[in-house]
Amino acid sequence: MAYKQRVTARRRKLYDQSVFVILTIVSTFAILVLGAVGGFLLLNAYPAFSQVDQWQFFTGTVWDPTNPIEPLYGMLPLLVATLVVSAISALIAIPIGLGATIYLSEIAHPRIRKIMKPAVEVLAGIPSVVLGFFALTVFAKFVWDLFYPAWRPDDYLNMFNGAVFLAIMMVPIMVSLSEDAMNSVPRSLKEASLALGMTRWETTWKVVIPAARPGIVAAIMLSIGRAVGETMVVVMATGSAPQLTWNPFSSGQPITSTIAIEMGEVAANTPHYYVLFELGLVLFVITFALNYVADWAMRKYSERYQ
Amino acid sequence: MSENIKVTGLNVWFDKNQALKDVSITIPKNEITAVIGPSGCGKSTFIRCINRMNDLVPKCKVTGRIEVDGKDIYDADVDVVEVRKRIGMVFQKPNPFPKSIFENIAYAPRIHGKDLDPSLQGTKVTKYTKKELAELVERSLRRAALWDEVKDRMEKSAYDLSGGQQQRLCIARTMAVDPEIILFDEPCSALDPIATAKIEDLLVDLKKDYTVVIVTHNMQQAARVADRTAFFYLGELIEFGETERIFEKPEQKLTEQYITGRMG
Ligand SMILES: Nc1ncnc2c1ncn2[C@@H]1O[C@H](COP(=O)(O)OP(=O)(O)O)[C@@H](O)[C@H]1O
Ligand SMILES: [Mg+2]
Repeated sequence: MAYKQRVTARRRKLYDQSVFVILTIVSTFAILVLGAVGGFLLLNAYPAFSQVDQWQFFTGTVWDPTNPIEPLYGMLPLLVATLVVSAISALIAIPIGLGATIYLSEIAHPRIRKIMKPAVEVLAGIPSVVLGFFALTVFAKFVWDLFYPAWRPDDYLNMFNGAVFLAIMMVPIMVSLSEDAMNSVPRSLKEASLALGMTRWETTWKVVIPAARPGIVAAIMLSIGRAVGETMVVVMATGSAPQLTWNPFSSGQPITSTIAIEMGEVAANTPHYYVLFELGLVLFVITFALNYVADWAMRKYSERYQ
Repeated sequence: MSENIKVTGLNVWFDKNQALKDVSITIPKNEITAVIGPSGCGKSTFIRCINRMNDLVPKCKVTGRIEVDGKDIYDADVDVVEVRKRIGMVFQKPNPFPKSIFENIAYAPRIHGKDLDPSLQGTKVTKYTKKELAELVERSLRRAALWDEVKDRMEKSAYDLSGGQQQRLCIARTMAVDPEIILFDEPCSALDPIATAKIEDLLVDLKKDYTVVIVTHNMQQAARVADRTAFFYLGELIEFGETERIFEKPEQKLTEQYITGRMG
């Protein structure tokens, strides 16, 4: 009997250790990949630091890298387009995503939720090229004619157009993640609130959402990261004209589009080539920062409450 | 003895499973009534009917009457939110909100507001001032015998408290809404003997101001604190009477078997 116990104890210890080792390897691998991607970008962008005027790169308002007389590598038009498109898509996606989350987790009948949640998650799997195609052919025309002759977008393909479809991509991610967060709020907390004579609404707003806030913030940040990094939809739907404008109804060319469009045509080992890698680096830093903010927000709230 | 809760012909179904069968019982005011019985016999179901928590369970059907001060709380014109304000509940596992100690108590009163005229059933309310709220929090914590232990760390998370302190916090939180009845569903089952003793002292002290109904699987606890004891078995109320009588001279064979520990 005692012997048997010792065997199982030893086996369990072995098991614990091997799980630990495997997880360490896997997570180290993730960090290595991240480092490799960063290093690769840095390595390829490095020549740009000397060959391209860095002041001009960060503050220049004109992106015209193929100009035969004087190529201009001003990043601002691209950065602004990225900001405009991401901000508008977030503005559209956050209220819809939160609304859908609250509906699914607090209002919908369990039977409806059982159908809706997987349906929403399937939405996340629609290839972005399909959405881009739809944006290009159907939606752009719809907005173009919507208020005509009173009003028309400045350009047929514009940043708003792309942002709407980015929002469509963001909502499922957000709903799926934040619904998980709301669902993992223990039922005992809801019951505590209801037993104090709170209505369901008061309970949702004052107990469930605050308790799920770290998860909700993370969901929002991750979906914005998705929007910042998405390429296909913006290439197809936003018009791809690198002009500096905050007007969402003008064409624009975010950082991702620029890399995707120009990388195929640029001659290797030219300043233009290196600058495209530097753009990649900028994008990398932005998404990295977003994830960090998400992480920070999660930790801040969880520390305060647990 | 004046009656406070009068239950007549209460039946409860969860889908097709009948959890309570024709329960009738009258619970007196300002006394402690214990509900005992083997697990699964419907104790929780019974007290969760008294503040209509079972409304939240899909496929739960309740028939019969539960009159509180003469008014059936299942009547169509009754506001369930008002019912739960008047009839508070403390749960099996301490369940403080993930907020500060202060916020745990202030949460409900801040939203409900201060009743200007209690006879109008919460239709005439005004906001608590900051000072009033702080006083209310202190009063509730004192009443739950927790104030001295937490007064220096009101802004700290409620999760920093021990299990017993958390449970007293939950009791204080319930009292801050100013109920007249408090239901306890096995409030000590997650606590050690010392924390349990503190809660029991508190319970006995509470009956001056509240009608207390407590579910417990611990017969000694029922014997220690309760004025009356109700024994449930398989969804039926088998016997109800003064605690001493129930434990010393049970009239029903089932009751006797249960309290002498001869029940399977
Ligand atoms: N939410 C629920 N859904 C379905 N059945 C339930 C639910 N709550 C309780 N029951 C059933 O009702 C019966 C009584 O349960 P309960 O009141 O929790 O017993 P006790 O508190 O005495 O242990 C059990 O058969 C249990 O399975
Ligand atoms: Mg129970």
